[in-house]
Amino acid sequence: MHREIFVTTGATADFQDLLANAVSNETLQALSDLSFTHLTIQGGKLGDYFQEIKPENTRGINIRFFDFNKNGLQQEMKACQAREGVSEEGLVVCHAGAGTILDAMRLGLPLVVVPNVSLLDNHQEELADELERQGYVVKSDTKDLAAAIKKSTQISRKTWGTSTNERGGIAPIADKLIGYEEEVKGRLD
Amino acid sequence: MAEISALRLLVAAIIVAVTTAFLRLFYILPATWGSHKHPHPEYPRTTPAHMVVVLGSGGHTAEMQSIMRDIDPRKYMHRTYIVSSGDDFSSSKAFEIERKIQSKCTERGSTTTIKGKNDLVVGFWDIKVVPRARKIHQPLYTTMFSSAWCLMGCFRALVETARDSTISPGEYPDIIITNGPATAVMVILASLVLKFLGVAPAWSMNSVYVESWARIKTLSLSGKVLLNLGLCDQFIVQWEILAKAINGRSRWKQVEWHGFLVE
Repeated sequence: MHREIFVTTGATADFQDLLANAVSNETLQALSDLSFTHLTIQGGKLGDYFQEIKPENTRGINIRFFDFNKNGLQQEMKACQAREGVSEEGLVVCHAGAGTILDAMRLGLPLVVVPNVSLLDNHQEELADELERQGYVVKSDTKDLAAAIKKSTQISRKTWGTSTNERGGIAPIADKLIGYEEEVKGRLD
Repeated sequence: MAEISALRLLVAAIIVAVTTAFLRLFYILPATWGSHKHPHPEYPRTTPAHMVVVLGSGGHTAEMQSIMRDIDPRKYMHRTYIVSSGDDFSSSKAFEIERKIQSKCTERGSTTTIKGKNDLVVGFWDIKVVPRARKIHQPLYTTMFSSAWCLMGCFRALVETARDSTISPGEYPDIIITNGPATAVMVILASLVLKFLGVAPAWSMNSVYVESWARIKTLSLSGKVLLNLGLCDQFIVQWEILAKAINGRSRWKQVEWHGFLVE
């Protein structure tokens, strides 16, 4: 059955280490052991580098590389979701960009977060640490990617945003600041 | 007999001017000494409100889209989005936000109103464009000028926003919602200057700043500036550990934590 893993290295900074480890023999072997069938990589400007290091033996895994998708990565992530009779639950591996992490968690996908330590601002690493501590994601560095992938498919994870019927976001806070009271809603309706 | 010299007069005049300015500043500056310093004359409020939303770069705007999800357009009948010039992404996101919040008013059907068109149920929304505070890779020494230019643009945007108000023409908006971008600081600064000068009433343009979900241990630059200068009425962070760290440091600079505002 189709089982897809999606690796995204981020749109703004090149993350060569992550790409190299995503197609390393060790990672491909781990993916093959876990019966993954497809590996999709978003690699920005690393296209030439990918052609250089592209493995000969992919261990039966179908590898696809693309640079950007200006419409976002929803499509690629959704391909990792489980669908009855079609695909098994896959996995997303991403750099620690908040937007990408949120996108994957909203879709309920298992997630391995690999912070790009070469970036100066380390608040992304703090985000990855805290999310791992709270059980939402598995954090990894580039060289332990294979082990992190295994771990991520095995452990039970906390699901993001168990949707409630309550109004969320800024709405209740803004209403309070403006002076709207709850029952006012009825009058406005 | 003491003679009143020109110098003495000048000194006295300066002292009076500085004291007045200081008192005025103390009067209009928000939050730091207790929230809701200037309640709206009508409380509880039953009339529609005018909301300004500052949209910045990609990440901030995507987060704002999520934060805005449950805003009721029947309450905030006029919504003005402030975007930076050349930022088509944010302009299209403004429409996305509108689509989301209008879709919750089922009596309207499934279409989304376009900007500048009034609707009986979901009101009106428009976009104001301001110059960028800082372009990516812009050298630091020119940032001062572009920031000043941006600030001028923000004055203009707010004055135009008041002029174009569909709630009550000429009246300044009720609330400004911002998150991380540098433009947010400029818009809030401009709103405070307008209040300082008495152009806008002190209870108008309540500002809410929501720190990015990505911030766990430290504030972003915009957040630091706004919190340390005490410029926002409401300062919200999304992680409890960050709230505890800041609130434990000083009792003058307090932030609020209401859980994750992103979905």
